[in-house]
Amino acid sequence: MANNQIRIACFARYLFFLSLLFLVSANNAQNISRYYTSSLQENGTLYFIFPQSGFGNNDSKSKLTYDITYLTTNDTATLNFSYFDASRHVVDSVSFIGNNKRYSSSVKKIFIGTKRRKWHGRYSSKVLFTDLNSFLSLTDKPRIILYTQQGAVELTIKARTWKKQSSVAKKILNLIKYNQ
Amino acid sequence: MLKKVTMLTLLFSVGALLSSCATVKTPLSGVWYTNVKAPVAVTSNSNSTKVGTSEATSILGIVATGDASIDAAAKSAGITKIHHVDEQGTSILGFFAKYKVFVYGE
Repeated sequence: MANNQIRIACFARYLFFLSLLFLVSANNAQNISRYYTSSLQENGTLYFIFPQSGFGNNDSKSKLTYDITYLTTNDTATLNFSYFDASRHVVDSVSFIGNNKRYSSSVKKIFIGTKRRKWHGRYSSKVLFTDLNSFLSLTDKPRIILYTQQGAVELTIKARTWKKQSSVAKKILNLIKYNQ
Repeated sequence: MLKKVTMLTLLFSVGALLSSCATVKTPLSGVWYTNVKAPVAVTSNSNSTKVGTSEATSILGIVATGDASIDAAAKSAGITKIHHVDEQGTSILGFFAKYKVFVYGE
């Protein structure tokens, strides 16, 4: 009997710490300062939205993470992305598709490396700030298509992940607009 | 079921007790929660148009992996001239810690 009580007490304590951990992370989810950084430059403010993940292809198990850099005096933002795939692809261009709209851009290779057993291709593309704004405001979950020498690779994202990413990005882009 | 949960809790607790906590390098640190950003270096190069990051993570102080070097951060954004470098340390209850490096340059 006493043993059972101790066990239940231990379990309750474990649950308490778990819920505390959940509360800390849930509270921070609303805090957009966790997702970007800004730096004052001679010619404007440089914003950097931290790397975001979630896009992937279920068949090839490939994954994509992206980050965004924007200098307020420019019309374009820099979208750098890492593409992880078991086979080596060299990406030529990228398209962002959603709500029957397509935003395309050519990409520049930064480097090709390896991470664990996968190839890691790091690329950079310039996107109009207005297009970026429209893409990140998409309500339907978007698709990213990478055009490589071997063909096109379609990457999708879970609706729930996109909802969170889009909401955070929209807040940051609004903050940038208010400061311009 | 309860037995399994108890065993898991016990294993988790023993693991946590036997290991050191997941700590991270920051000028200030909190036992429960840490999220601190700090400077690392500044150069005489002017202006930044690119930002690169690199990171390393630690779980329970048992496993720590990643490449949080300035070189990795600069390479991730194709930076050849560094303007300044910042660091950010995050840790939660000593279970999980993350160290990030931000490199600004062009």
